[in-house]
Amino acid sequence: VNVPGLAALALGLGVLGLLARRHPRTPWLIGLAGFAMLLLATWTLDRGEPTPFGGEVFVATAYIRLFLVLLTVASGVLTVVAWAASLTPALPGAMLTWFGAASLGLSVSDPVPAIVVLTAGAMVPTLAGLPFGTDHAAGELRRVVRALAVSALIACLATAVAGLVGVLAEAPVPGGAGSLGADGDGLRAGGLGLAFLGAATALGLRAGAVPVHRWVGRLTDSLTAPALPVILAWGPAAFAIVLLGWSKDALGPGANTDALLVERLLVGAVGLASMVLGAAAAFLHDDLAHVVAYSLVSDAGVLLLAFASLDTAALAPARTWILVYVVVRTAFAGWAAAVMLAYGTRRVPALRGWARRSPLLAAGLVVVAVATVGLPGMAVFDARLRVIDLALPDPFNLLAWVGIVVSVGYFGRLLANGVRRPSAEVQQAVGVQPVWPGGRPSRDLGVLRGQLSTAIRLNFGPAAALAVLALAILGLAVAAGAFEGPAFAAEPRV
Amino acid sequence: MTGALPAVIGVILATVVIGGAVAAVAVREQRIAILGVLVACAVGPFLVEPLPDPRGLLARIVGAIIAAYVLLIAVRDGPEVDSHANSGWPAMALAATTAAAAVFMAGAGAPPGAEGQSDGLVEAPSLALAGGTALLVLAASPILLARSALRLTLGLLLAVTGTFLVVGGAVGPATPLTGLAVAGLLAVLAASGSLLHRIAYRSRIQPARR
Repeated sequence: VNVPGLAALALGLGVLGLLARRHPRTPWLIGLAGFAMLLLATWTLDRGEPTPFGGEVFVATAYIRLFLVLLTVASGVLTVVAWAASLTPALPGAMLTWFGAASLGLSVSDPVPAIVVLTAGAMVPTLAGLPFGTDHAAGELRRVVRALAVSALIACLATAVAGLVGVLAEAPVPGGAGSLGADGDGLRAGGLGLAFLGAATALGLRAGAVPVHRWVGRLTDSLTAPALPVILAWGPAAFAIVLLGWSKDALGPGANTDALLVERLLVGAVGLASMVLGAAAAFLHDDLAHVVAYSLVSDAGVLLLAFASLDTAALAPARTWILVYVVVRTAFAGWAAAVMLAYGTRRVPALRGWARRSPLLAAGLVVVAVATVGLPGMAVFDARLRVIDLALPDPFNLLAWVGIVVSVGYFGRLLANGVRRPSAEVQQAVGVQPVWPGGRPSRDLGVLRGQLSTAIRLNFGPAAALAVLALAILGLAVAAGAFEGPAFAAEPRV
Repeated sequence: MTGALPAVIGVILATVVIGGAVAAVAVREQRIAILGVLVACAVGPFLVEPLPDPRGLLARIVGAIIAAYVLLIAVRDGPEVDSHANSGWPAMALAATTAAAAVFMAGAGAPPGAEGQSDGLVEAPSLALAGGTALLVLAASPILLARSALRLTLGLLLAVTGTFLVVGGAVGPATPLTGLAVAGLLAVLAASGSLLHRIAYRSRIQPARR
């Protein structure tokens, strides 16, 4: 299987899933079967084999292949959770479509088509993830579409500015001084600085970093929780992978000198602010969906710090961290959706005592917390530390620890709330524990078939919790450096 | 556009593109605004020199047609005019022309061989840069201020075309894949705008200014 073939398969399945969205079960089955097929196809992807198509070359590196494999697993789990919660049936088709776009965008060497493909692909889950029919939702969606499109266009313009600077600097002129003349170095630094700031703005807007995070917070009111990571984690992750690769090449020579110091410090400060304030907002909010969204705002800060470092040494740790970010944030959003499914509320105070009644969900959140924050020696911990140290000078890098500590705080708050005496909502919730109709399986095959059907219907909540726990464990493995993630992340890009 | 006739054609094409974009943002009649954006998006890629690959050009034209068609479906049952257009097409036209002229003169205004002028480097693509800048100037207002999904979408479509004119002017013509991707983005943006416009129309409530 090559990249265009994989993308065609995903896009075809996605369209099929979207067309079948009015059927009660078909879109979910297409989603589950589709992601299983894509997992197999991605596993057998031609690694490192260039595939020319449309004037560009597609290469699926080992890192991209691992990213896509993890994405298929995460998408499969989200499909299970969203199905259990009876959420919008367009979601599996939209996720499949996004996967197709991501496989194309991440494998192409030119950043411009990559950004455009990723943006067009991100529009589909945006359209499918919102509960339509209300003017409020339409207003929120208008804001998302604007943020996605504008961030992509700014990024494309930034690449154009950098490209123009490169062309001008290299163009021979009769005088032999270069097209930029005697002030060439200053003009070059200015042009590259502009391109760098443009790309950082695009990344910040796309990921919802402070201070351009307003659309993220308001979107959360309308968006169903499983759609959150699709728009707010997977999209920014892919965007960041493309821009990090581009910045290394386009801003490369001279980028680590003092020429871009002011710009780098500015972006680093924004990243730091986003990291700390996002985590603080997640700690303070009482709405579970907002907690998830603001944790993603905090992560946007790490993405910006990775971009701000402009150091080739930061590329591998940043890409390692992105792998963990995608899986673990998906597990966190899935956990939030599973909690909402089990207890019918997203208010944190009303969820008092949830962990006592849902040990599977409690285990899932503990694993998510450990994988997100990391422990010394874990790949995710070292990678984030390296990114921070390369992006921020002393003593500002120590401030980043505030964000990490506050991250521990919001997980701790959720867990502490969960072990308290259960609230009325939590006590009255049904379908939280696994049950088998009739107490035990019947020996009569006909009765057993009926029991099985009923058991599936009764155990949507525990099944969602189990799926989330499995994904969280996968995230923990990636965070610990399994599947050769750090080694693949260190391989050169296309 | 190095010869006399191609230069004239280039200027005519740029005028058509900017005219279409002005119509898209300034005319209150929705169908004419959509026609304007169709003209700007379909003709825009021809300003890049050298011309992009025919497959990419074809994709861009098809993308523009699909986008316009999808938007026409959205406005089929609604009112023919809306109150969200930017009033004053002369002001819009003046702003766009000024921006285009400034970029054109900055890029190619110096006579050939003059000091500081790089031979053929910014002269040929300056028309694309000028046209792209004009489209971005025109698109800024609906993107930042529009209260209507349709007007926002028209602004975004113009911004996409403007951006890729600037990219084409700066780093050369797009590959067929880029053309295809841009066409897809135009179609998806139009589909989202169409959907939002339908929702707003059905609920009979105009989205509030936020």
